[in-house]
Amino acid sequence: LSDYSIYSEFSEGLKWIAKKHRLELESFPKSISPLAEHYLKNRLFILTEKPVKIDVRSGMPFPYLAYWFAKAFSLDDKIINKLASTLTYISLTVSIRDDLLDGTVQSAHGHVCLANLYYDKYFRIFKSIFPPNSIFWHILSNCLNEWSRYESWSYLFEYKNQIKPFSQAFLKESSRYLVAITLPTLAAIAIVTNNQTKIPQITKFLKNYWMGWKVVDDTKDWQSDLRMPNFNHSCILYYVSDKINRKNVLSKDSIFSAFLSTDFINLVYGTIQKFYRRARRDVLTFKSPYLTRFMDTQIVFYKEEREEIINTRSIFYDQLDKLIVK
Amino acid sequence: VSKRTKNNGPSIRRFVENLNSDDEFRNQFFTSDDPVEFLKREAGITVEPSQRNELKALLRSYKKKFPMKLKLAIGKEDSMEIDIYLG
Repeated sequence: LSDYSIYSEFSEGLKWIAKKHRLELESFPKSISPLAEHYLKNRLFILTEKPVKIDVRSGMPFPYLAYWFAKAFSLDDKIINKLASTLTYISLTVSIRDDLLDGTVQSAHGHVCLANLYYDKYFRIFKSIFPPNSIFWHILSNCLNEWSRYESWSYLFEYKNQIKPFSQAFLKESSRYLVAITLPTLAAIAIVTNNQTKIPQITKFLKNYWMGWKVVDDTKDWQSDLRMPNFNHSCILYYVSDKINRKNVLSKDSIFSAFLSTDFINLVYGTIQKFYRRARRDVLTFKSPYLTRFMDTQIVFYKEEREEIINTRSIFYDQLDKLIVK
Repeated sequence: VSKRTKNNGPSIRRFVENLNSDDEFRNQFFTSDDPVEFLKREAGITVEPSQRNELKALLRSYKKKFPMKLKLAIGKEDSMEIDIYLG
């Protein structure tokens, strides 16, 4: 298996999902279809007009996790595309709700409506598969509660100096919703293949993976997070804010400055490695070459990214030294 | 070695060491409106006015590296056109 093939192998399934979304978009009322189109084409790239090129080593869990777990549990049924599509529906729901909570939207009611429409589609897929007495409903309601817990925490949370932004305790809170939105789909795959005993191990993997991913996401998004309420709970911004003793308003320049510290670079990338390595250990149980490759490539990718930053830092100091000595 | 370099020598070493080790000092340097003036005021290093632009260019070029993303290996096996991307 190559880094590429763990994704490309499921291209047909992805085309099926995209077609489903396209047909649904055509059937939406005019009052909601422009907004739906925005989310499908611009906010998320589900109906891409131009090809999106990406370095696969950075890792794409959505919606591929569904296919990889289906392979691991030998689910070779058409049902897998339906189940994988739940990850696109929940991603849409979350993105719409996030924008709503960020207060950046013009039509709040339209957003609530669209988020509900997608959540309904998400729910109906599970309803078409599981009987009322299935353990699945317990898992789904628990995940919904976890997601709610995250939203409340996110609003109420006040950052204090004694909280360590790269600690497991903090990252567990800030990534809680990610586990809550991915577990139902993967648990569903486990249940339909009689692998429900593996759900605790799936949960463990998701917790470790999403804690590492949250740090990764914060390294990519810190410039936009600076403008968000509570800094979007960015571990990068909270940490640097403490380091400059909050005497000044946190600015982009403070973060640029922080990335010249090897201690900071090692903290950021060491935390990513710690959780990704734990997640890799967790997936070994499933004996899935797809999942193992998925974790391995990201571990190498972010190791290289750390080296790149260390190198950038050294070049900066060398050039500064030369410039002022000139 | 120029006369100015000899005069600045110990200060430059101290300045670079401070940048390396002192988060707050480095932050002040990065957030100052005028890094040349900062060098003079905080580190006693005199930089020619003509080097002002070079210093600003260096800072700008460093900042452009962020967010750190390894270049896509377009056309190689590591990159692919994707069907769906959910971020």
